[in-house]
Amino acid sequence: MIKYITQRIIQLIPVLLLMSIIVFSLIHLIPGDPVDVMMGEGHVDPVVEAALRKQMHLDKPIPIQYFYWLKGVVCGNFGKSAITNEPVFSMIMKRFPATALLALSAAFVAILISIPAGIIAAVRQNRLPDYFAMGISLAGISIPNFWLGVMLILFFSQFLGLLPSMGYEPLFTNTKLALLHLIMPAITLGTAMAASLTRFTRSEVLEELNKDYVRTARAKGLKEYIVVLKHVLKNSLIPTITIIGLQIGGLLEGAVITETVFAWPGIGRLAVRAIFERDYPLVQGIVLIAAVIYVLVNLIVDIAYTLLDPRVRLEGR
Amino acid sequence: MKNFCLMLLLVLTAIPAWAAPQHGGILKYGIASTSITVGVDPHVIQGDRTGWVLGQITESLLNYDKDMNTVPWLAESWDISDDAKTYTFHLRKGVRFHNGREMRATDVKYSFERILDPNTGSRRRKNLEVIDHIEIIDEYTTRVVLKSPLSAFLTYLVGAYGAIIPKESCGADGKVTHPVGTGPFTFVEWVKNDHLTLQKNTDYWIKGIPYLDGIIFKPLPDEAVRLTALRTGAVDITHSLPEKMLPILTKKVNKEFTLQILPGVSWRMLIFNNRKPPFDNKKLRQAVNYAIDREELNDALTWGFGTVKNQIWPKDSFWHMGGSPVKQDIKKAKQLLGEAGYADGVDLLLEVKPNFQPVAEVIQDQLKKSGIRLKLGVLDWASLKPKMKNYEYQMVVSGAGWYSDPDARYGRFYASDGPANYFAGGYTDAMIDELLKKGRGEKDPLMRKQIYQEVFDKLSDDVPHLMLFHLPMTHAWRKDIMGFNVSAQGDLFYEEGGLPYTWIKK
Repeated sequence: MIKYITQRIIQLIPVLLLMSIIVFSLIHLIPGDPVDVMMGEGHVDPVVEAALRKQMHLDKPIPIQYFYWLKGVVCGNFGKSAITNEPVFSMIMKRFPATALLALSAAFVAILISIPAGIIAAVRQNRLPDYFAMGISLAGISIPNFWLGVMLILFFSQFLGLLPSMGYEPLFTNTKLALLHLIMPAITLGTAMAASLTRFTRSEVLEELNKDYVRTARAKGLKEYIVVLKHVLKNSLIPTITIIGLQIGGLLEGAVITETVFAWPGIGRLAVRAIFERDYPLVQGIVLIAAVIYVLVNLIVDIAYTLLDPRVRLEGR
Repeated sequence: MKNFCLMLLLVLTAIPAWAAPQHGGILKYGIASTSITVGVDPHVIQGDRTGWVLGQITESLLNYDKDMNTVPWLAESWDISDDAKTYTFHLRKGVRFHNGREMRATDVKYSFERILDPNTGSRRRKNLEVIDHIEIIDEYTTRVVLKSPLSAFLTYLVGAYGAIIPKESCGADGKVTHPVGTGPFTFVEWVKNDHLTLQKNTDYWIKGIPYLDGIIFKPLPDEAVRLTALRTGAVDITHSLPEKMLPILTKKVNKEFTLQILPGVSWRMLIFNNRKPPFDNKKLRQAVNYAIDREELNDALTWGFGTVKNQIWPKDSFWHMGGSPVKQDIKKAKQLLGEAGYADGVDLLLEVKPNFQPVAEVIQDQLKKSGIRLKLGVLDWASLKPKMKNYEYQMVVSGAGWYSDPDARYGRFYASDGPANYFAGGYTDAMIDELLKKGRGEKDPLMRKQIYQEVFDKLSDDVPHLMLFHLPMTHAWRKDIMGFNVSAQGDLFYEEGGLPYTWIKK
């Protein structure tokens, strides 16, 4: 197991290297640079612009700029934001708790809704609960994030006055306030994931229900709920967990919109801003860290397989 | 102009003027940071909105009053030599920086030299480029010697761009990450895209203010989010509300918040590429000028709450140049188009930032009637700016704000070496250059007015770019917020007004 994990982490290095080269090339390919953005609208001052480009090494060829950046990262220095001069790593880490909290809560909401809904829909296939769950999940996939967010704000904040309409509170300073702020963003972001996950769980459970071992279990007189919860669920969860791991990427993506609607200070908004500002070091830093998180989440998913299915062995070669 | 009565001042409920201000409380201000917020270095910052925030922390030698006249501030008084090249500033004594040290003449010298250093990256360096050197006469007196006379020099010192800061607030790399100034509020922290927190300066040199214990600025780029935040109490004050909501907000009796609509200072313009065909042809620019219906644009985009003007100056301003906005005249537009050599109409490309797309769409529709067919292109600002700087475009819609001196308005845009010349489509004219140079050196305001009138008249004929309409300036605050007001330019700290004079009713 330890050997397997070590191997996976070593495999991460070429992935990150390749990805950083692609991102570096892409962001430099789009026209404009941070100096143009910093100088703002209606201002041109060639003297200042040249000085700033020199400070940021923007006057050097792109491969050399990449080398400067890589050298820093290897030494644990992600560089400073081209726009604000803040260290990139601390900028990301300041926002990381907010994004992690939002993504995990959204995933929690999604799992809490989708797994029971998917099971019920499968067990009661082509009956009212099935139609109901499928109808709701179709609506969940179709509703855009921003619209749902605004509707929740209108209803729970403005009409009922129950929940704060925006902002983020750290979880451990005032837990009650933090949870109140979290509810609507987590529901908004979790809904789309819940919807697709419900449909996925349903089809997996259905497939398992038609297998021979289920017939055997029923034949030996097991109660239906034991058949479903003990035998079917465990087997159908393996593909579902893979999907959850892959959807973490989708959560980071959807977070951009949710973070905007709820003024949530997360990494998603920071990334979009950084791209518009051509803040090269910040974009690089965010993408690198997001990639690390993505790979790590999927590593955890792989490990989770062994818990669900003893036949799966994770061994290093 | 159907809303002319609203333009002056619309305050839906009156604040009792006799109420005595109360101290205490933290104010939350929802700020529209559509212009990108660049750090907290007052000399580097760009965008008026960042300036509003940093203007609470740092101060300059001068400030504005409500009507944008310069008033003494950190400089108690000054003497100007007869040739308008030497400015001697007498500093206010006993003004302390937030670190406890008294402000001296050396700090003024240091601050101005820092702005002038290209490595600082100040986008207003060009305004002070005229400075030859700075002398220290004594602890409280400093003399600034200019290379050439500049009558607008004092106005270039106002605001965060001309902030006086202590040398020790700059890091080893010369950058400022924790701004220190002499202002009514001290800097606490800034988390980009989330909040910027200020705390009351208990040792402020104007006694009795500020009333608030602190301010939290929350950047909320989306106008609908700003309005919701105000309604739910997530912020106490916000500005630039969605214009499409104004007809509803002004009609219903408003128990939640106070709404103020003032004539705005920021305007939308259509920029032509004066340097390349087809818009190096004056007749074509004039044709577009007559093909546009500005009133309709104003109705469509500001719901009539904006204003259509032919210049930035208000009617009662000393600098008002007369005349009126051009009215749509399709016959004349077609005739000019024919004279330009496009009797059968012409196909052109109009490029915009995403937020100006609605303006571009209305223009596209209007120009069709005169035989000018537009294709629209939408680009983000960082991509559009290099195109504009390199003159690789035909037409662009953009925006600008008001400046308090004609040199800042006309010199910046139309002088061939002006810092905003590319916003006038790279317009160059030897006669205009000569006039603008004369205007900079002239001390007598009446003579200056004549010079700029000549500039204005020539530009009205040459149309390097078009003024479309002015946006309204809207502010709204919750009912327990008292004493809040803004200057004619929207500044949040001016003589006897702004956030330091705002208080919360308990």
